Amino acid sequence: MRTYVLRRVLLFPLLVLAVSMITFFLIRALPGDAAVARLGAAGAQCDTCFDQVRKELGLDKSKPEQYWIWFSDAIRGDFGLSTATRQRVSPELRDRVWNTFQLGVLTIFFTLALGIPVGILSAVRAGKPVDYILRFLSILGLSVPSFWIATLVIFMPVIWWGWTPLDNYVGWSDPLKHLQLLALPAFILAISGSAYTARITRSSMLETLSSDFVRTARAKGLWERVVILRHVLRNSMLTLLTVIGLQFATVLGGSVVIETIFGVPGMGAWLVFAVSNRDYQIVQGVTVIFAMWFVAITLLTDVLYAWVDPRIRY
Amino acid sequence: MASQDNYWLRARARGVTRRNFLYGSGVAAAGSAALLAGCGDDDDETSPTAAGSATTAASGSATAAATTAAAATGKRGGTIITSKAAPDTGLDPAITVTNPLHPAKAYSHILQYHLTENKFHLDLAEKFEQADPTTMVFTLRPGLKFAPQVANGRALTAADVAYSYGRFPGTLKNFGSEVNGLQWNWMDSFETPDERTLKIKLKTPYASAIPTMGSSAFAVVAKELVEANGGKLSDVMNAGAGPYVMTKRDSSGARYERNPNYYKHTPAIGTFVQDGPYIDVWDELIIQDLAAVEARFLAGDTHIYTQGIDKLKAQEFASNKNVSVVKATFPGNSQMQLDNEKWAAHPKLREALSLSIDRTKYIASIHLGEGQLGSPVGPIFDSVLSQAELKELQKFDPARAKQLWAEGNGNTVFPNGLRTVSATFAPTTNIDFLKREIEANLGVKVTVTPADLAAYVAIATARDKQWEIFVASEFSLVTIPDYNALTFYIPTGYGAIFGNQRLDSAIPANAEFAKTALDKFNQQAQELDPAKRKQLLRDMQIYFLKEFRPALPMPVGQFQYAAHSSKLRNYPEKEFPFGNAGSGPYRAHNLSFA
Repeated sequence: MRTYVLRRVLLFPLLVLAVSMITFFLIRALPGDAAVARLGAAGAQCDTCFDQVRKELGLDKSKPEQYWIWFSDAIRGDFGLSTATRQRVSPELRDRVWNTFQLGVLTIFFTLALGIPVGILSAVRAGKPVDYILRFLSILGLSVPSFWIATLVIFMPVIWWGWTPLDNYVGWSDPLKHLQLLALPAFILAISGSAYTARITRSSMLETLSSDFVRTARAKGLWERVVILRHVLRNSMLTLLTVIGLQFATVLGGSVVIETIFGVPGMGAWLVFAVSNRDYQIVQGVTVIFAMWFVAITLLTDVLYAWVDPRIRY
Repeated sequence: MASQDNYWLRARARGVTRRNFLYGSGVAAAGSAALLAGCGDDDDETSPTAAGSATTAASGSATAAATTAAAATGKRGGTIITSKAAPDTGLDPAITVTNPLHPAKAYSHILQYHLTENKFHLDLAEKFEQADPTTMVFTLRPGLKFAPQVANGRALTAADVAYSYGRFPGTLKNFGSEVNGLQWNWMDSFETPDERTLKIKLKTPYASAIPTMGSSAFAVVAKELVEANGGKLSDVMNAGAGPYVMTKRDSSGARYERNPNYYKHTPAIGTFVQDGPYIDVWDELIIQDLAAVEARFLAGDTHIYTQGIDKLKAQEFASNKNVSVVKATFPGNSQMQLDNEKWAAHPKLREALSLSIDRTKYIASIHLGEGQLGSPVGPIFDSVLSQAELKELQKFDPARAKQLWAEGNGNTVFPNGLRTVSATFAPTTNIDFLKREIEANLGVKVTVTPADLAAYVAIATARDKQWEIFVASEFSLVTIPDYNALTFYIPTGYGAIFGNQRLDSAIPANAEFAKTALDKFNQQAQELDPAKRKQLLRDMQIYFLKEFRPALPMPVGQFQYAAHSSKLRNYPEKEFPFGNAGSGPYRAHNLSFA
């Protein structure tokens, strides 16, 4: 186990390095660079306009040289200057990572709070109307894209009551408002995750329910609630753990759209701005953080998995 | 301000009592009620103050006439909240022209030009004289000062105006400015005989000098701030003498508050108010998502809807009692740019392309019947050709189109058909429509490549064009009002940038045409007699339309719509689309709350 974790930890920087290199060269392969995005069509009015800005942004250097400059700064925690706004990337990145992290934690909270009870209920009422209804809702939750639900959620109250749940992002300077503003995007982001969790919980529980030890527990005369919560659910959690870990990672993907719609100043919304403006520094900074996040979560999940289930050996 | 906004400081200051503990618990229990309570209206309008109503007129003469209209009265105070999709990519008015709010708020200009009336109001200047066709003399108001944050609030002099205008060649050369040379390269030299007098010598007479000087780029800046920041103000929040100072700029948006040093417009004139603008604060939120922009506007969270709206959306908005919809003549233009390096030697093919497009159907389909034929001069100017004339010059004849295409060996010249680009960031129904029209009526395959903004610009401006046709549309006036469309037809404007209409072209037919186009353009630009200039502009349009190059004008809407909160008064109903062209809502000092 220790060797496995050590190996994974050692692989961590290599993986991040590979992601940063791939991102670096892919974003530069897109037509239109940061100078074009910054100057627009008017930049072509003189032969040297684009070249001037490229020089200012350091884009006149060779790509390996540009990468080396970026990399040597990045390992010191300096992601450079935004090519679009000329602001330092690192301080803003720190704030935005924190905002996205909060959104992610809240999303996972809603995912579990919704998904696990629904899955349990669906499993213990298997084949009954409640089960059919919950399974239908789960399929619905998986099928409907979160951006569509988000658009409805911000729009329908305007049409009905002339009010929208959107507001200016305030952060922890006003905790109540902050949680209020984060709760809705997190809940919407959690819908598909909770639907998936519910389905996994249900199938995992059904499998466990038919186990011999469950029959034994019931034969001992244990209360059904104790059988379900202490014996069945605990054993079903093994499968769930992997799913939850992966969902925490995939929250990042969902955050791109949800943060944009709800105006949460997180990494996802920033990435949208950065890609369309060919803001290389932001794209690279955000991608590296995304990669680190993903790798850390999967590592943590694997470790937890082995810790929870002693049968698992790496 | 910060301490009042901060929950923790407030909480620490008041301590925890049994009463507020119970209150807090109640709030927590009634979460949904608290959620609703947090979204109330936060306008902080103050009591109204009447504006001065006296009028004044500028002296002297110009193509545009000074007006004597007085500012409409309004209520003083309040915060206008508006939005934009992304953070600023620069704050220097001589470099970045895409943000109309900043130069309008943080900077002052020598005059304000009102396109719909072809009139101007003096702003920093109190007097203007056209001494001779190539000499303009401005006398500045007495007692002008920069904002307190700028150069210690020192006096603003004629030398500052001359310095600001003289920056353009340098910002273009050194920083790749977005400000087109058409806007400033008519100026030759400046003289400042005293602190309040600015004499501008022109290279040649220039009919568009006044409209140009009203544009955002002609903001007056403090020299020491430019020099202290390496020659540019891209990251400098305040370097001017505008009615407001920028007090916040971050990822959530920007804020502008009153400049205490702002000068008086005595007496009030046009949209200027004697004691500075009525509105106290402008808050600009960054809202990336279009649905969120609309939701927040309709909910009353923002006061100006910053997205363009079409007729259907205008009707939808008009049913909302909190929203006022305004309608003005459409000022923009739409051009199908040709890569003139490829098309210059093929007049029959150019004509065939034009004949293959059913513009009547285009208007019905794209503009819902509320459109008009386009021309090389924008539809808002009186020199534009009449619709009857344009119809005669932009016929639809698919049979003749096919015949000309065959005679011109179109399939040999363009063996892979025609290529174009569609923008992923804007509606592209017109591209789809044109593709269908050309394919059906000309029998030529049209390949459309989608591109995001940066890719779109790169593809459009590359010298080696990977396209044969390219539709560029502009929905407002972002450069010189006079040339918002004409710039696509000349080798010193977008004609070269987009259309490869180049004086140095290796293809004689292209180079010769570029020279003729430029000569015609210069001739009208130097004609100060409005009637004669109008005739030159008309002749020029006919010439381009008969040549079917360097671009083919596409139909445009008849009207442009906008929406604002019904709480606002004195919204510039005719000039709302002119953000960068000198007037519009951001420049209106008489804008106020009801």
